[in-house]
Amino acid sequence: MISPPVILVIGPSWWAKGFDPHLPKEIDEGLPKWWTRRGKEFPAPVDVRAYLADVLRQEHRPATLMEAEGPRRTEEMETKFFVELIEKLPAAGFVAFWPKGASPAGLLWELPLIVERAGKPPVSSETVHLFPQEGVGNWNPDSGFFEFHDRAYRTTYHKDITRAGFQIWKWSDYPGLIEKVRRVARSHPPKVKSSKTGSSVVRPRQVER
Amino acid sequence: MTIEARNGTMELEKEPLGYLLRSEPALAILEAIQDGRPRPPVEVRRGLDLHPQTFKEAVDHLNDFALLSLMVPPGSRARRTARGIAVPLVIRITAEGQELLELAEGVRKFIREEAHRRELHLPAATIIRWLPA
Repeated sequence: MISPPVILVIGPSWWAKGFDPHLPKEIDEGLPKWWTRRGKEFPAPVDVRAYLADVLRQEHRPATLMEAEGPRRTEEMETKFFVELIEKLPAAGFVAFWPKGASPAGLLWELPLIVERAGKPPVSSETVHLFPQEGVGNWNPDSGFFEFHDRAYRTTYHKDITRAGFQIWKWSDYPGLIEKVRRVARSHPPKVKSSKTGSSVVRPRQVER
Repeated sequence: MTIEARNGTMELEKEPLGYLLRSEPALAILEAIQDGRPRPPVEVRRGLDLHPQTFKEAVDHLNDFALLSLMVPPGSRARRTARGIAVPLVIRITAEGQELLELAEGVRKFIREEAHRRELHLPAATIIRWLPA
């Protein structure tokens, strides 16, 4: 088991039946040595999460996933194991992998649990990074809302996923996802500077369109 | 859609500083949020008087480069929509965005000063882009 604090990579484990994610060879051939591939025909989402955890480790950000942690007893409840894990590991952050072609039900179950239980140190919008693939959702420049297109899994509990806030890093293809995870691993919160004018109003600027 | 697919260019668009120097809307957006405070995207877009699609493309590019983050502010509530779940957004510059913006402003300043010092005869389009009156 990796020493805390760590980034926990969460998300789905399996593709929908018959779905081919067209993963690049980079992932298939580059799975970390500490991980045993679970997908048969091609890597499963849980394998991609292991790959992403390894990408984070290469950026000197210790990372793991629930499936890599153990030992666990066969009779242990999955929820109990997850809750104990996020309480036991002082989490440096959470990376949530949300691809097309896999059920987000588990992820949408885990996010509120993280908000509720992982309060040591408190989770914040600085530490939860959601990586939805294009098609899973999009944002509207007029409304200022990001919409997750998944009617099947919405429940009243999903109102809770935003309580602690999180950051969204949309991606379109797997090389783009890997690059983005690297960039976010190197990224830091900005320095908050006092405004020159003392006003938060954005001043119009002539922009060539 | 990938950065390359959106622009039909390969290498330049993979390089954030090149993109920032080339894209007026992207530079203006980063300048508008350079103080590091999160702001609603609608407020920034209206403040800059940008077309929604131009604004969205620039923000998506900046987000691709991790120069700007799309954030769901703490304490906000998701809401049900006809298509799924909607969450409110704010945009915020990242530390890398601040550093690159400072670099881009330095490059622009250098070009302006060098063009004046050497009294160069520049193409009109270059003057408009780099040497605003």
